[in-house]
Amino acid sequence: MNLIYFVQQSFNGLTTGIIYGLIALGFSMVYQSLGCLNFSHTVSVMIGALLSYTFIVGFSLHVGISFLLIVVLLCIYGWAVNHFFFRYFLNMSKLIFMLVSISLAGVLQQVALIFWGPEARAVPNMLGSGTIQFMGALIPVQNLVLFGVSLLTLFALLLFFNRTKFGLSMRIASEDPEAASLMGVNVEKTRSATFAITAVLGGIAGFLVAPLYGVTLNLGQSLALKMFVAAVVGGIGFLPGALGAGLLVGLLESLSSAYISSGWRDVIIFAAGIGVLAVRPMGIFRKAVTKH
Amino acid sequence: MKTKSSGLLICIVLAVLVIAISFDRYITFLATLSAINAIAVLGIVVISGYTGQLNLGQSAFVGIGAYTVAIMGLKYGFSFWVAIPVAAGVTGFFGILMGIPALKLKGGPYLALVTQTFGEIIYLAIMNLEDFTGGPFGMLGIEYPKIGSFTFSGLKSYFYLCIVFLVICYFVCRRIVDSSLGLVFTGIRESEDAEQSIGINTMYYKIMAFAIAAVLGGIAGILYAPFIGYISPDQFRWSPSLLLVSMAIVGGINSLRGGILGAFVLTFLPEMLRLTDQYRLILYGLLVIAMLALLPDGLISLYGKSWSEVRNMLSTRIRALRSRKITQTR
Repeated sequence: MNLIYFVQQSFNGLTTGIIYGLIALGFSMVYQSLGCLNFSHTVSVMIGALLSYTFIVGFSLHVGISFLLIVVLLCIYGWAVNHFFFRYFLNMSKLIFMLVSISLAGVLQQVALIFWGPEARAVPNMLGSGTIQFMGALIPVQNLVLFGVSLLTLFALLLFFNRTKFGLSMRIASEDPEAASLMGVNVEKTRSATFAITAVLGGIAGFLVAPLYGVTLNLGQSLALKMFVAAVVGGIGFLPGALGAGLLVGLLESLSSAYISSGWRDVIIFAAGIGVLAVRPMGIFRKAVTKH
Repeated sequence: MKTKSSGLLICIVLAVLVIAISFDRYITFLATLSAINAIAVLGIVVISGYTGQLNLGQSAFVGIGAYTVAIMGLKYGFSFWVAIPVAAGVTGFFGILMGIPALKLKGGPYLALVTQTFGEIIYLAIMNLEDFTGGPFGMLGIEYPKIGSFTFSGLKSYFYLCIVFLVICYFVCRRIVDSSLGLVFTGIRESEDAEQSIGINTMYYKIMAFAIAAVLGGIAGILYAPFIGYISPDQFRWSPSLLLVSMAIVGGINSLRGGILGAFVLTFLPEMLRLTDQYRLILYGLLVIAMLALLPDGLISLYGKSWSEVRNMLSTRIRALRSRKITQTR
């Protein structure tokens, strides 16, 4: 019985963990390519969730079609936010970039408030109902689908970065932008693409959590700090680390609320994050790098 | 340096006079709030401006200060003045506690995370220790400080009290940053390795800088609690911390006077924009972005410049923004 409870809680933890991982991955990716913290990243989660409500409940579109629409719209959003805004701020100090992105997040949240209004909304469970028995534990199909969609997204991303020419040019541009531009890579374009891809990742995460957490304007904010913990503890700019740390955060969250206390759950996560950084200043998954 | 700090003194005297003459209670309220914020921002200027250590958890220390006063007053009946040294000690202790994990970390993201989550831990602790802090319901009915039979209960008398505290804090900070200690702090910002190589224990000084910043936050909290009269954990979460950092940057994070200026500007600015509520916040955000973009050294960098110099500065800035050179990011 105890083992069953443990399995069930672990699986719940992994489900939220992969969401944290998806969001942290986007955050980490922007850091990798620009060296800046983009605190407006979680706005894309909020937009994804709000759009999924509008499409599925408001326009009663098919789930798959709404998913594709969200991907396309967030791609445009990510491109636009870089093209009209962030590319002007890249030469500034990191601190100013960070504060600018925080201010932008505030502005966008107010804009969303005007369009969608302040009330919380429920999105029906559209990812499948019922449960599956696994080692005696009951696992909702919804969580399995959520997990599967996340894995497929990650797989697509992996293929993009390793098999396509543009994906490779994005990697070299984030490694060394000057050399890349000398090799004929259009660095501005790769940066736009970085913002577009990260916005899509956030949007997919928003689409997936909408039925679980409900849609509110604070959705992004409430996930922000945990995703930040995941991205940094995984070693910021190191993409597999962000995903792994996201899973760990989710697991720790659900196990500590199951076995210790749900009130102190977040304290445990944050304290663990600080503790890890005190011992391993570059994150758990990365070796120390010396710069010259 | 002499002329500049006397210039500030004149500004403060003028501001006090204007408040004294004006009968608008609302402006007095905002000015008091600005003075309280300014004390917390001074802490950010010391830790982030002079020492170069990012601190996104300053309002947690404001909260610790406020809760110390409230708990001592409401539960144990101590007076405001007794609470001051206790709160300073408590916030200093927590500042050291936050400084310790931050010692090894180099680079913005890691420090940003540690300070921000530290603030969140304090917030969650206040939420969960319900018997002690009232949890999410907060604490109500914190009393105004008294001297003898005189109570600082009027808005104006409280305003003067805060200004006195601000001036004291300012001159203490001035003494610190102008002393050899201040030189060590700027040394940490410029090159920690170089400083270690000449035998300075930078760990010790970094912790000290964190403690100083925390105590300043605590003093702001001590003044905040009786002024508002009701404190709840939400008032000290991370968004006010980020607001305090924005104040420091908008005013000019490398100067104490800049920090004070930024605190006053960003406390008054949202109230000046009298549009409907939603549009007001949008406009406020855009104005903050514009100030960050155009004046990276803060509003204080306009001080003592002629109109044409300002215009030159802004036009080079705009050109730099539009050029979008591809630079090495790390």
